[in-house]
Amino acid sequence: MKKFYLILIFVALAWGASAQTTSCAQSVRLAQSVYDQGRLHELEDLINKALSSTSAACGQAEQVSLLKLLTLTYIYLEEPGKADETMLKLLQTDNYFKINEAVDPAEFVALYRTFRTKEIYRIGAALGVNASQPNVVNTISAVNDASSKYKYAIGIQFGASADVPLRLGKIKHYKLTLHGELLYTQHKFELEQKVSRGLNADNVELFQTLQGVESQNWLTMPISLQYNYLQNEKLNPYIAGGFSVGYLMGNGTLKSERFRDEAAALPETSFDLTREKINLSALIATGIKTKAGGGYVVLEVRYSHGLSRISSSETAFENQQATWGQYYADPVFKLSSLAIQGSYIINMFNPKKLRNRS
Amino acid sequence: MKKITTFILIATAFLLTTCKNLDNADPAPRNTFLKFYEGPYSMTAAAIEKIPGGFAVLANMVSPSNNSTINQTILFETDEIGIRIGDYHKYDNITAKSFKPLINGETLNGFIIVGDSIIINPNVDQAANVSISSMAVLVLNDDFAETRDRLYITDKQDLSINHPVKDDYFGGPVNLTENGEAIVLGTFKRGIVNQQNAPEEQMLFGLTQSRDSSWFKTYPLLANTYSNAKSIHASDGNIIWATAIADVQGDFTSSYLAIPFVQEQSVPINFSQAGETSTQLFLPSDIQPASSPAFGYGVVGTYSQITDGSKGNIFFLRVAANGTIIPGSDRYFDGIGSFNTATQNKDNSEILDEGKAITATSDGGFVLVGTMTTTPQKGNGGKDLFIIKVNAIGDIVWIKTMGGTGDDDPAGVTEASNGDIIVCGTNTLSGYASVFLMRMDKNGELTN
Repeated sequence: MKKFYLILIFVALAWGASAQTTSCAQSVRLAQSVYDQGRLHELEDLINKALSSTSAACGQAEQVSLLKLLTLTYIYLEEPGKADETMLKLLQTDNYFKINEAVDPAEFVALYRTFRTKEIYRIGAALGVNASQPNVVNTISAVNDASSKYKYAIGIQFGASADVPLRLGKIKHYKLTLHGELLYTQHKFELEQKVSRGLNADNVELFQTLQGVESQNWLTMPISLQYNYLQNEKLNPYIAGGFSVGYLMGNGTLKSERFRDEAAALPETSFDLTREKINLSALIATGIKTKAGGGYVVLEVRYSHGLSRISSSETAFENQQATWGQYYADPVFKLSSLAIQGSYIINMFNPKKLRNRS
Repeated sequence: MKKITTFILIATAFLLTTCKNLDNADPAPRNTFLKFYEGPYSMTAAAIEKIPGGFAVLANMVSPSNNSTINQTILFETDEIGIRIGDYHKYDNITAKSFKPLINGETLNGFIIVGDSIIINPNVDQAANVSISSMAVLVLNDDFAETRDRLYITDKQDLSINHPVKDDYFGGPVNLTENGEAIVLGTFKRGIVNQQNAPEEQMLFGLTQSRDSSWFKTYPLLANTYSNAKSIHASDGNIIWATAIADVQGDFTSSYLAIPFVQEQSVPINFSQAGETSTQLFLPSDIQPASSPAFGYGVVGTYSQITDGSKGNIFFLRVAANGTIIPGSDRYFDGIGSFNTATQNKDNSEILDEGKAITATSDGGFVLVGTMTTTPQKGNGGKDLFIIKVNAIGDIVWIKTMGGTGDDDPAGVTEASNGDIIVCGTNTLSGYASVFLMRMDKNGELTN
């Protein structure tokens, strides 16, 4: 018995849904028929009733069909204001509505072209990795006879991404895009400092080696101008140039360990190092944008070249545990990085009548 | 594709051209620094001296040698920003106590080093003869080479029934007189059977300008053990130093302070004392002349009301040019209390602080350096440096502690020609010691 009731409910729901669809579809067919017969004065009521019906709500495709018929109607009834209004509704209903120049009436095509139909911006999310490396400006060392070098390490980055396509003059395609991001960026790099301690009694050179990894957590805002140099519907490759502003959250953290030949190693220690809070970088990038769904999948390789110093000579010896415990003094350096990042951005539309078009 | 290739080439070129080797970059334009100098074995600092163009640092190292060990003195030179010039110069079989550069105008002619030369012989009858110490004097030229045989102050008398134990001689501070002669302060223990408990008496000897021994004088002022501070000064034919005299012979937990002021090759003409009527540890570590000779000297050391070594304060006091301790000039500094109050009561001590070295500053004040022992309230671990700048009357101008997880122990302090403060000492981490040299500005900052 229970099964019977369930089947009954399911059938009722399916019938109801079918009835609605059928009803709006019928309205579309009826409207098309009326339009084809040239009874244009009847169409306004017919279509508006169908669009506003709550009992037989229309799907997006049906709304688009009805609005297109209504727009054509207003065009032929020479009611340009209403035609504009309806075209706007149509474009708002389907951001991706495209005209078919081979089939659509020339008046409709002409009206369509007086509207902004392209996306005005795109927003999305980005995720990537970067390899960072200091660029030493001035060396400050707490040891003698040292050979010290930095090595890149991998950090992660993620955050929000936005594009604003720019149209210059009468260029058909958006070749330029203003691109911005707000990212959490982790920069990491390794340090190795090897100090000669001289020869032991057996004439073997002994060393003291400091190995460390510095991590920094930044909030970065890269801004770039992308140039789409090949209008390829599939890949849309681009190159970009711009700058990035970073704000350091907390301090740089150095985790280090000191090894000594023929002497006890010092245990791993982690300590904070004072860093400049703001970092400016110049950036160049290249990437591709592939259409996917209502937006793009973007893959980008980006090089950021540090312009400002993120450590200061004044704070070189500030952390006493680093200096007295690890013989580490901070050099003055800038930070550069190479990042690979993927993102997905969604097109955002705001159709409107363009003033300079008639 | 061409553009992507170009981009990759540019990015790679940038990455490759970034200066990732610290040693390839120019040194930061700054005066102050902190440098550590490590040897193959533990190296402890003994003293620092200014020389033309930089500093000379004296240190000691114990190296293994043929299933045994050998005491080595290390001398090295740095420039004004602490970069070592040349190698470590090593001198075997001596543990250095002090040294003095021989400077003529702006030319470095060499050094005099004073230390102990100890012979160990475990196969002797008398325990006191297992370790026989002699005072050794090295004379070096400007190439750091020994220019002549070492001078030894040693017991040359053969062992006999009447002389069963060798005398022990210990090196101490050295300085130069106005006419270029050298004076050396040392101590000795007479060769008696129970030598361990014998008093350690004082002696002075002089070296001519050609560094030959010219005179020798002992000062059995009191039949007690003496502990001399690390400096001695000669002026107008008079010699002054600071010493502590143990209350109980052979036991240096309770002592009082004395300032011997003697005429060269003659008797004391002043012997000013402090604490001789009370019980305390009163241990001077250094005495240095004020920036103006008329203002006498400043003395630094350790004062402790309790004598178990658990607590103590750094003391500073002034001595007049004639060797008299100026009454009321004594000041006391505690590693915790002195950060809260300008005037520290000498008997109030929260932790063990020890005064180690002092230098006069050109503004009429002094800089005292010592150590403070880390407590849960203050300090970075082990012993930290405790540095106090005082004005001419001993009031605090600034006060600082610094150090790491290990022990940081100063051996000497001096003022650079521009007023910067140079501190030299030993940093010990996990049992391994290195020498450090630090240059602070006159405000005690390491920022510029």
